[in-house]
Amino acid sequence: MADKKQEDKNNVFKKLLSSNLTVEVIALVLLILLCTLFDHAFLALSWNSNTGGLAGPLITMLQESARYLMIATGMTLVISTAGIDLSVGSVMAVAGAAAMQALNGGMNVWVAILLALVIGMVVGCVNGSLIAFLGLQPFITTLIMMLAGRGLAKVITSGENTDASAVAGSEPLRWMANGFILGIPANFVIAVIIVALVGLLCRKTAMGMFIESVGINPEASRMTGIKPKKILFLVYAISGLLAAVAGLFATASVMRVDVVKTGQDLEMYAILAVVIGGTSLLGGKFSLSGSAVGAVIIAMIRKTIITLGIDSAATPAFFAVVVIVICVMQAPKVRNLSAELKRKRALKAQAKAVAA
Amino acid sequence: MTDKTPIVVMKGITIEFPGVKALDGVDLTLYPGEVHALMGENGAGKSTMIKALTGVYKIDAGSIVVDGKPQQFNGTLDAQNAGIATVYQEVNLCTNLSVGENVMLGHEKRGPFGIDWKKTHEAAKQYLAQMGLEHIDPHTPLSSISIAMQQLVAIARAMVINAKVLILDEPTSSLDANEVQDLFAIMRKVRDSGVAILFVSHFLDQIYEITDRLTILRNGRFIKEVMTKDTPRDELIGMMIGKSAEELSQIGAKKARREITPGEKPIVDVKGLGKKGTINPVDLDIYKGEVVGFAGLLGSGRTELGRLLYGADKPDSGTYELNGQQVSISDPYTALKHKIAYSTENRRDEGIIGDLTVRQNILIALQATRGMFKPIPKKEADEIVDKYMKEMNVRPADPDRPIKNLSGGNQQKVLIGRWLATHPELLILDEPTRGIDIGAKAEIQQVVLDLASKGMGVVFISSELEEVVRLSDDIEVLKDRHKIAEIENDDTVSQSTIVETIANTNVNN
Amino acid sequence: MKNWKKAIALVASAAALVSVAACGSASSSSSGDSGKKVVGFVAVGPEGGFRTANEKDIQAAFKAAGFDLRYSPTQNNDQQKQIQAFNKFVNDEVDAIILSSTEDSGWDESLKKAAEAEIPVFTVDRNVDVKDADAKKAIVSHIGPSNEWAGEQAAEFINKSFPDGANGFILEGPAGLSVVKDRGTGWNNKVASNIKVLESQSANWSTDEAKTVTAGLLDNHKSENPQFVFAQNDEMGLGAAQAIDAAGLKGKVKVVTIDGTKNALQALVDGDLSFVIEYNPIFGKETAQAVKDYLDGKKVEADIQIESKTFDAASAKEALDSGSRAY
Repeated sequence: MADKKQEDKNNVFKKLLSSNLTVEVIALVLLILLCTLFDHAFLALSWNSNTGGLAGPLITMLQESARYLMIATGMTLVISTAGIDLSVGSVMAVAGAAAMQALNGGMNVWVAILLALVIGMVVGCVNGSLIAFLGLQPFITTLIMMLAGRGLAKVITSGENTDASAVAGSEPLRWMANGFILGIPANFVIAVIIVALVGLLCRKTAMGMFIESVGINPEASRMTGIKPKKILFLVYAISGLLAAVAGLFATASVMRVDVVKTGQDLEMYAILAVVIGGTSLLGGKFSLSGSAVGAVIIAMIRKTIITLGIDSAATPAFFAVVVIVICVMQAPKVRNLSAELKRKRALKAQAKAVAA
Repeated sequence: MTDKTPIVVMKGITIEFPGVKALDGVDLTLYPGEVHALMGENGAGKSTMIKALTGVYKIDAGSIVVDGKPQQFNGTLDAQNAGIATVYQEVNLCTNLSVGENVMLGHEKRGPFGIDWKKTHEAAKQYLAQMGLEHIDPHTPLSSISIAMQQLVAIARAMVINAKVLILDEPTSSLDANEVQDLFAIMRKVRDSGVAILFVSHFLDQIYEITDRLTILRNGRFIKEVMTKDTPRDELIGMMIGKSAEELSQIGAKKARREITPGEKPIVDVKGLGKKGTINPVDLDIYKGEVVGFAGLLGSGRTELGRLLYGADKPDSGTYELNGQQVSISDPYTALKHKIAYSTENRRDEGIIGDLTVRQNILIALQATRGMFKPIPKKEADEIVDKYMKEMNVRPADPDRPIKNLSGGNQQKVLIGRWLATHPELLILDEPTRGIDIGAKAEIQQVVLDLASKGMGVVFISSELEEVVRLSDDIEVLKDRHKIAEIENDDTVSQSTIVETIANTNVNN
Repeated sequence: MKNWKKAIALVASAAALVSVAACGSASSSSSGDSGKKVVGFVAVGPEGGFRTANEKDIQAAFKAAGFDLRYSPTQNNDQQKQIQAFNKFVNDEVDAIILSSTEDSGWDESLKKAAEAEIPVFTVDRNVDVKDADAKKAIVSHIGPSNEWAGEQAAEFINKSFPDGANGFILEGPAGLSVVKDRGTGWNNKVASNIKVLESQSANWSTDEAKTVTAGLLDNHKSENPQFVFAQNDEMGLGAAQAIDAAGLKGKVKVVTIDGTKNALQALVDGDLSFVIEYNPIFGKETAQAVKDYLDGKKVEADIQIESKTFDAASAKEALDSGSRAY
């Protein structure tokens, strides 16, 4: 009986150790510690009466993480089906451009927001149709959409970086990106709520299971009566919609769309967040919470770069090193290192015994 | 022929995998200028034997002598250097190169400025002409010619490297009748030039048409070497499945046949159901509580017919009536909606969803029929999972374990549980007992009988005739993609009845 | 039904005509069909207000001066595409090439080809860094406002604003661009010794990134009382201003930017920015003149500097009210 209890305890401990989430949280804490070492006030929070919210390095980090949370969530579902969506960064620009241009044209702010979301979802649906119903490769399809999306953003704004900061009545949108709810950045709160909703949708209905099933084995899934094409279409549509939300966060932050820079390279950040979160690029089981923490880690790495004052030429290298270290920490080989060694020793002993 | 010196002598070949002896002291002798077939059911050890000869696997015991020299193959290159060439089912050539480049790969003609492509292609043309393939332009990209042609090119390539032994592993499985004849013509040319051909095919007619000698394997053991012309078909099949012809005709312990009451409507009534290149049109009816067995060798179309009934493949001819209603079963979803379920023979690729848990694997088909956004309530789900895990006796009894970690037999039980959870009226079981241990096999056979006695219609597809005869009420016999007979399974029917039917019916392809 | 067919035929034949015409113009060499001189413009393409105004002005000016200008923009600052466009112009034997380069290095080979083909090259806005002597020969003249001068103006404004010294930040463009180097050099040339730059960070020319970066810098260096931000372009300055506003420091931290877009001038009027140095994009006329003079055999100066203005709140309001700004 006592043995059994001990075993259970060990199992819990082992499970905790082997969970991706644990590794992620450790990585996040390490990054925060590193920053605190360089800047002793890194953890300090103060009340900013100007904005009506908390202020401090961690708060700006959370504010930035909101957009990563959005695209990483969509990307998680897409990657789970063994696909990829390279167009999220461009969709952000398209949605942002649409919102800014609409506001400048005198449209009601809520209509502008809705318009941006619809456009994002339409781009996602186009991706989904091409991949699911025409059977094109996700990589190529979304790569094309990534280029075409930038072009579309430029067409929407006639190549300008549309500025809507002076437009009256745009406060709700501005608040979405810059406001606070109970002192916490509004965009972060909204993002977390959306992630939670997607999580509920996946796990409380059969959507999550079907997505994973299609990612693991599309033919076996078809044989169980699942329609893999519909699932594929759905995940790209969701990814497009969430990228549009991210685009609103990014542009509403400064009330300005930069047709070239908005969302640039963010598809890579989203993929990294998903990988850090423990979802395999080969598809299959996914972890939304893992990706969400991964998204916060991405924001934290960028914060670390600023805090450490890393030379701008060296930032990509720093980014890469941190991500690689986290991935190595998570590699099953590393995690099972001791177990593996034990197994090898046992095998050797067995071989000897047989030879004897 | 026996007075010739053999080109390959394999003696006492043994190959062990962890826990299994894949081959146990198998002999194989190949003479120059003969076509020799390796015969045996699936898992008999044919492909392991080929892999031993081509250097893919290292042998644990035994000897390989090629052309009088003892050989120790440490890889495919060693075997190739010894003169052994292989043409696989899936041709392993470079589709992005031209025909000529493929034929001459590694043996290109050289000029003063590196490879002389003109000469190379001329040489390729000669080799092709030797094989009666002068109509192929060596400059055409390989990808632009048919798979059958690609195989012929692969054979031409084997000639370039001066092969003494040519191995053809299931070369005809994707060819039509004319293409098979083209292939045989070339095989005869190659044979007459003094090359030994080792041939593997599931089509018995082809074996009798082209081969001179047979080596029969069963369960990794050598059974017998015979001359093709001296061996009747039923004797050959008997040796392949492990029962002598007399023995086969004696087995017949089976249950009472379910008799159809006059005027009874079948669950399924199909007429002319077929799909080009897969299975020729078939008429079939299945009644409530009836077990219908599909018997036939691999490639006979038994699986293909099962898949058509389920809509896993779309039929292109025929009508489909379900309980008297005309239906169109175009995909698995529709089939499940109409209470038809199909358990695949290909458990790993089309059955289990490996990383999902046992619980999810049981629920997934039922969930799919209910719709993605109508989740099965947790309580109901728990009950279903519990019920079928118990009913099917799944071990370990842990529903939260990924299904890929279960043994083959238990995976199979989970899958049958999955289909039962959808409450089918017709359950199609394709090779439900293949590759699983004896205990699980008996359990599954019992389940089949129980289900039928409760009124379910069951289609039972198996390569083991013994099982089919024991369990079925009616047996549909298939051969070379045709249904050749429907046998009412009474006391007069035995395995040999079916074997004889297969052996004595000729199919016009 | 018949009408449809007719319409389709019409469209098809029109398309055929256009494509024939396009082929014709593409294959024409030094003198175009109408005897116009052909000038190739290797451009950056849509990037922001400045670039758009600049390239539109050059296109308009060359048209007005009677040239056949072939505009070839790249995408996302892709130098490879620019080099391809440049080489194509050399192969087509155009009369002159205008080069607005995304990067300052990597042009030697292409310029050498131009020199061999005796095609004069005029660099506009962004200078190129050429090592090869043969390649240098191809460049007749550089036309554009001076980035170094703009950097110097920024330094001088900060010097004047804080005679007793101050701390602050610099927001740079992406590492490796000649503009970034030149604006930085200008700043370093003139900045007083008591002005301390706490940190320089790249914000990638982006408003959004500049906001994030500035917020971070303000957090990190709170105790050092930062009083200025020198943003190397308007876009980043606008982002910095928003971060400063959010931190409740509006008016306490001066933001200086370079370029002089309408948005920046408006922000200057609103008090978000403190000083804007124009980087005058309107020099199409000067460029066209230089090309014309050279092709007519007149002497052309090697460095034609375009005059730019500086703005404070008052002069910005004036400029905006006059409505004369094109960008």
